[in-house]
Amino acid sequence: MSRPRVVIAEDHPSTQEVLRQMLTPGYDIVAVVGDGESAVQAAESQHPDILLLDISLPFLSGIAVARKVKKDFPAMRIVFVTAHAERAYQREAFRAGANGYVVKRALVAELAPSLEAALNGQTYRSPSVAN
Amino acid sequence: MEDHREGADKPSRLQKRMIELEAHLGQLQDSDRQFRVLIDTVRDYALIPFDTNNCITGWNAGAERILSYQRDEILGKPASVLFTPEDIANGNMQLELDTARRTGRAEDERWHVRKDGSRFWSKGVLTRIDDESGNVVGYGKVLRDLTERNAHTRSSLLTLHENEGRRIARELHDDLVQRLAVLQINLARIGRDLPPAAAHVGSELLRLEKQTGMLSNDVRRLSHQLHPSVLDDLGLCAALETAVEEFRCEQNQEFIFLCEGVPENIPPNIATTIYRIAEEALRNIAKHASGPGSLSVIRDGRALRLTISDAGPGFDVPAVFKSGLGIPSMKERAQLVDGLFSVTSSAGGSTTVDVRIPLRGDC
Repeated sequence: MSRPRVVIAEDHPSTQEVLRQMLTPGYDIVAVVGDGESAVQAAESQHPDILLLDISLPFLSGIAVARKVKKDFPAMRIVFVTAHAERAYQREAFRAGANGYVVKRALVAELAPSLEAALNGQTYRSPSVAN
Repeated sequence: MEDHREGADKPSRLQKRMIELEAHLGQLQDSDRQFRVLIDTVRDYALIPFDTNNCITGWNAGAERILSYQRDEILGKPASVLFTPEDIANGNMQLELDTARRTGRAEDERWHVRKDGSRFWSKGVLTRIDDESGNVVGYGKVLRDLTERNAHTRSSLLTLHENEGRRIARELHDDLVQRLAVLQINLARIGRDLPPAAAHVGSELLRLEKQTGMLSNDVRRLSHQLHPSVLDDLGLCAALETAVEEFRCEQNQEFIFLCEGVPENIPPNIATTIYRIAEEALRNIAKHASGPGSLSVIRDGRALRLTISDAGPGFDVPAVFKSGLGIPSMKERAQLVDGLFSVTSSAGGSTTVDVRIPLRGDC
């Protein structure tokens, strides 16, 4: 079975690096981009299985990217990886079509289950988001 | 008998002089009349003479416009009616008169009081008036209402403050919080991958990870207080809903939230104003009220209306307006975007804060 293909959209270099390290063993990272517009382009050109999206991205927010990508590629899985732990962000992310929502500080515990859930057609909500 | 002397029908030198003097007097009278008309009709400045007993002896159109008294009802009244009770009690009014008497003039910037009791910020000068022998016969006060200019300055300062808060909040969130998250992730990864022989290090790593998480939460809280990023990222309704959710969580209290018809493109200063007023009202409720409440923001024609209610116990509104900073600052924020602010409360009963802010342009 082929490894799932992932695009990482994250503007902070050290978070990019952490994601790269954590994903490399099980996923093919086909692009790493640092802004929202490049994320849309990478999704269009690479057709990844999963688009990992930060919310606060330059030029186009992650939420706006998700809306656009889900409109054109409804089957593409989108998992948000963000520092925003407020419910409003998670709510808006799922409204925009997210399949998963992970809070960065809980990445080690939550990244793998969120990606598995997304690939299995399920949704993953971070327990770290205030309820 | 006819007078055939040369120049008999011409005016004598005396008559000529008389005619010249009459013309000059006429010019002077015209000039004096023009000057009086100017003083009486100038509307940007209040020109108010007092006598040595500090009783008002004159009142121009500017004074009428700025202070609202009609000429007939103010002439003869003491000048103290124009000063705030605080300035009278603190001796500031007397100091102004003493300075003018001693040095000839006294400049000031202070609050003055209109007929209806409302206050305005003014810049003025009080000038001593002497007769030809140098005796003091009265004083002349010239003042200008700077409320509008002041409001503009305060509005600019507030915008500057909010923009700076937004910039620092972004820096904190987009850089420091990200770096702390990476630190926390790396600590968790090291802890996860520890060989069994190093298990004793695990608890120390866990402690460090938790401390990093707490530090990260503190920075996020600070960033949120400086400027809630949710307001810029997701809009006013999401930001208010988040504030209400946090309130419910912290106070363990029922609180209804409603957001209806709010346009997405409302100007940032209006969104920030509504958010800050709601935030202050929720803070007041957390401190002073109990029981269920509600917060709604709805579009009402060409305006946005924010209403926050609690179940009480209420308070004496005029007393709180005078002594508290919170409610006057909410009112000022609303006024800076041409909004109307009201608060109704009854002792032991409920309290409602109502704000109506006009929308302009394409909103």
